[in-house]
Amino acid sequence: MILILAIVVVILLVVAAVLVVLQRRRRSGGVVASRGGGSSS
Amino acid sequence: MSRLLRASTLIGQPVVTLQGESPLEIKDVVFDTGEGAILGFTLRNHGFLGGPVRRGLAWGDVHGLGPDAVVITDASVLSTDNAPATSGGDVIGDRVITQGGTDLGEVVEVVVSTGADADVVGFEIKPSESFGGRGDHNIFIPLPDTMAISGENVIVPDNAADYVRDDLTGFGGAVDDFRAQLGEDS
Repeated sequence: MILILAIVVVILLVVAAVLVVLQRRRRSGGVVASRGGGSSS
Repeated sequence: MSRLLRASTLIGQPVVTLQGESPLEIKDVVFDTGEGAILGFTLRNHGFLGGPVRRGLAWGDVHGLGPDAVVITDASVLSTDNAPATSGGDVIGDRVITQGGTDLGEVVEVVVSTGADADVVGFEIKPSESFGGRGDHNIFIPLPDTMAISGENVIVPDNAADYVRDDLTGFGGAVDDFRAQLGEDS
């Protein structure tokens, strides 16, 4: 029982870590070049 | 009166209206590869869970740009129509190479001159070993009015290396001197 709980906890921690990394990458900004200039509209 | 700043200092700054509201914050600083002009910003929601949004902010709609916030007149200027195109990718990490084929180093920061207009005027680079790179000491290199950026490399005239500075102090003068020299050569 304890082993199953430990496995579940580890899986949840791994999933949480992956989500944190993905969200940080999604929010990260940069200095972006735009070829040809202008807006996207 | 223009002043120089590092472009990354704008990332994460709140966009604040004259009414005091802060609907979004800066995600990307977008510039034109041809002339180096700052076109505007892509935006994201506040907070760790806030992701990017499709609305953007054109440079022409910026009312004020300070050390802590980007001020706009009202939230109506934030629209998908104002979102600048980001076709060229992030220049941080690009290699700076002279027309003669010398690798000067890696872009770690973009230097922007702000005033009525805003332009990319130089890069802070981590110099390559062949260009005297030692440890973590970065240098500043000026850019011409018209730049060539491929997505992985930035090509600069050979004499750009003659106008390198160790810090931002006096870098504006180096940019002016470099561009004046290019004007005389052409």
